[in-house]
Amino acid sequence: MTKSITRKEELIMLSILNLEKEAYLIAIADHLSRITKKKVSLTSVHLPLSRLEKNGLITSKFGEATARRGGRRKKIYRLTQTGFEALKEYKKVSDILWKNYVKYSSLED
Amino acid sequence: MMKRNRSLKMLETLLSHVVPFEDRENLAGDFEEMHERISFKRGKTMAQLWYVFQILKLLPSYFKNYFIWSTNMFRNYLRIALRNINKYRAYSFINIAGLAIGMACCILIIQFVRDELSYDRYHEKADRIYRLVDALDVSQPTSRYFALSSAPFAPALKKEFPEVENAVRFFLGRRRLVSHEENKYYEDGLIFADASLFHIFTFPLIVGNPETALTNPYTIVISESIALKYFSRKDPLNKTLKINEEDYLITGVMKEMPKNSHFRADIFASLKTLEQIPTIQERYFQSWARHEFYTYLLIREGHSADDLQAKLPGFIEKHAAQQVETILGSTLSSRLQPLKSIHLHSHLQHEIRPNGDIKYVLVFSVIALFILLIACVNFINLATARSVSRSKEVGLRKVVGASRRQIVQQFLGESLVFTFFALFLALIIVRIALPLFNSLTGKDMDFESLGNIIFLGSFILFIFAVGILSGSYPAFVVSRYLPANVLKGSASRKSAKPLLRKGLVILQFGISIVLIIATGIVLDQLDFLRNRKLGFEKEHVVVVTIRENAIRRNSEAIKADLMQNPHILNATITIGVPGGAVAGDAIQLVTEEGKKTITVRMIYTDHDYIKTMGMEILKGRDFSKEMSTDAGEAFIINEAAARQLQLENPLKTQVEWDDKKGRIIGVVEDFQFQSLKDEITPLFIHIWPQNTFVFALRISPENISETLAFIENKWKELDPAHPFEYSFLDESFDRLYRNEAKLAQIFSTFSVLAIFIASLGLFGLALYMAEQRTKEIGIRKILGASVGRIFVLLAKEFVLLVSLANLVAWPLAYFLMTKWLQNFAYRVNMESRIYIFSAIGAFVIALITISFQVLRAALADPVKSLRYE
Repeated sequence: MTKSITRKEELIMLSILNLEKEAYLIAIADHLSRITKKKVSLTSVHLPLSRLEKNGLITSKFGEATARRGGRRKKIYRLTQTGFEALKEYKKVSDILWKNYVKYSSLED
Repeated sequence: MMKRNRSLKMLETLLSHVVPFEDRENLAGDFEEMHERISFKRGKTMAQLWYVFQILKLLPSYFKNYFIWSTNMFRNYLRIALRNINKYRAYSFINIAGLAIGMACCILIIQFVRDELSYDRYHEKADRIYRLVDALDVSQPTSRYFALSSAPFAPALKKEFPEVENAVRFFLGRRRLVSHEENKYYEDGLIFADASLFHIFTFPLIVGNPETALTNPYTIVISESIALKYFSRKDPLNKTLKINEEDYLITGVMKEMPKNSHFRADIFASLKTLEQIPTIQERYFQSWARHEFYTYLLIREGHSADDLQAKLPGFIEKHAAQQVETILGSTLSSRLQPLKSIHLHSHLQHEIRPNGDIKYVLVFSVIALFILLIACVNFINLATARSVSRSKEVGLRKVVGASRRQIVQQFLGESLVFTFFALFLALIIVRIALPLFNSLTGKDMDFESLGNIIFLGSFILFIFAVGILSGSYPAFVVSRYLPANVLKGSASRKSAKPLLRKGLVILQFGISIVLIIATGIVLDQLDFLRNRKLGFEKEHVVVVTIRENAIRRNSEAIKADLMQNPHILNATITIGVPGGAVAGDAIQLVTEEGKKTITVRMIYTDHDYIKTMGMEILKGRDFSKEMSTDAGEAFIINEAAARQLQLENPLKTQVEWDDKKGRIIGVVEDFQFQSLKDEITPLFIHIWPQNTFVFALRISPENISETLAFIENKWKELDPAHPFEYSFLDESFDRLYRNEAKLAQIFSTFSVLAIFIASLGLFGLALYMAEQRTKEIGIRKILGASVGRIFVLLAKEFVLLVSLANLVAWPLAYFLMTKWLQNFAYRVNMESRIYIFSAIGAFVIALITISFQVLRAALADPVKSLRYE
């Protein structure tokens, strides 16, 4: 059975997909705030990330050390197979719901 | 690269504390990146604020994480602890049982101490209440304060000093017959008190008005239990109770007086009752020289008792000094005692009831601590001894990544688990032992009173203290093991320091031996007091209180009638038998050198006192009916009086006393008329039948019950109005030593417990040692050692330890017991046999304890113990 995820988690996972090799905490937060045009705080991304990782929906590995961050490595996130399944499941459910709406709205006309 | 400043570093350390290890690096990096971005856009301060804010936001998840992990680990620790308990049942039992007994002792004694300290504190104004106590001739070394004072003090002090808000006087009613219709009982708790009583002390009235309750003569306030006893469920208000021959109107019912009071009253009668009788008014209420009243003062708020006390000499000079000088020939001094200190600190003459003693409270607390200490030492010893066998576990934990702190935590946790088991057991023990403890201490505590919040709170703290105290040493020892050494198998056998263990065993046994010696000496002293030559024969004397004036008047005829019975050997009427009440008064001696006034004890009696009590006349003669002047003009004194008054020839001395004149006709051998704690003081015996209170009959040891029945029948004819009551002199005399007897019981109980717990520990150590040395013993046996030699080899160490314990204990016990014995005027010599017996006792117990284990090890088949390798 695929694990169900929240809207927030969906957005974060999609951002990870978007960003590919650059998906680390700040990048994800920036990306989300650019797209949603809202402020996204680091912690509000960090906590879902840890949970997703704990549940095995995403994994992470350390990137190269850079001088900018006081010599510390970035933690780069990547979706796992389960994570991808969960994301697709989420999309499937929303698609069905959307389709139904289209059906009903056409009846109204 | 931007220069990394100090504040950022600090923030990072903070961050590293709240983030799990695996997130530490990247989060610090991320945050620094953001920090840099924000400080570039909006300034450094904003960036720092942002950083702090981030940390705050991470806190909740940090706590959640922490909690989850610590409960996980805790579950693991608990499982390991329970497995250990189960695996080493003997050790666990020794630990838990020892601790439980120690704790139970502590709980009981804490309860006792709490109760002792709570005396008289329930009065709302307790802080401002003082008792006025008097002394005569304070400059003389023999002078002692007595709890009594004279009647005019209270009203005069109140009038003269505005800081005295109120004052109350007590006059103790003796045991009296109280009746209502057919309900007739003797009551002891009758106190005559001023109406101001309820203003000063807190005795809430259930019915009745405290302002007016005791203002009129012949009014009383009774306690709930008295109301129930005489009126069952009916309303007693405005009904009457008959006390002796007079009717008293009940004007109030008060709540039962708390037990922790230094006086007890079931009935308060108005002092006006006595005051309005003209003869009493004159004799008692106007005299500064008659010390018959207990006086309590309520000091106004904001004033100090010291200031008032400083004014007392002036006050006495002004009002009382002259009268006291003329009547008693003495100077009078007064001082104030805070109410709250009376129970534990006041040991004056004529206390209302025997008080507690702060010394015993301290002794008790110290004993409780000792016992707990012995139990903790067991724990420490066994845990450190066993830590070697757990070194592998510790090593493995360390390899897997446990920090030293975690190991310490685990071991402390384990000892807490033990402590909680022990507490549970201790509560059960307390529940069972409480009635026994109550009878031991003469208290009336219940188990439910343990359930108060402060007590429980402090108790949890106490448990933690015990757990940490006993667990910390082993925890710090084992946590120091180096995993590499341990896992290689070369764990240093020396790591659990045997020296400390030995020291602790010496401490345990030392304490036990001190307690044994103390018990021995207390018992010895008690025995000595009971069997000392008293100067009279205390056995087979029946004492009956006289409650009917006619008996007093016709005493001679009654005595003759009673002595028709061949089993009644002698009879006398007297103010008090030895051990009972004795009056004190001032008397004038006329010798060749002139007159001198002294205060002596007086016994009023009839002709047959000396004979009946079996006392011995040393000089002169006994009272005789042939000498008509003997009734009224003769005095017999005791040796102490002759000695202390330095009478060269006592028989020639004239005596003047009030309006009486007479001479000394004889000297009686000193007899103990007070507790043996006090030295025998000068005493005068005088014939004055009108002032007697008891009938004393010497009966023969045969047919006691028939003789008693005979006396009872006769008595009922003489005094049909009062129920017949009697007591035996020896019993009431033994009651004087009730405190010491109690102390002896407590000492013996606790020293048995102490030695038991210490033996438990020794048993555990022997068990451990025998296990450790199985192989050594096996090899020795193969090489030809006999069972006896192996026994000696193993027992040697323990014998040495117990010997050392004796050496430590003896001087300590000697010092302590010498101090205790100084409380007594007559005391036993501390005999060396007590020391030797206690030493032998300790050896025997220690040997019995270890011999089982040692013999088992010595008898074991060496093949079995060596086969493994």
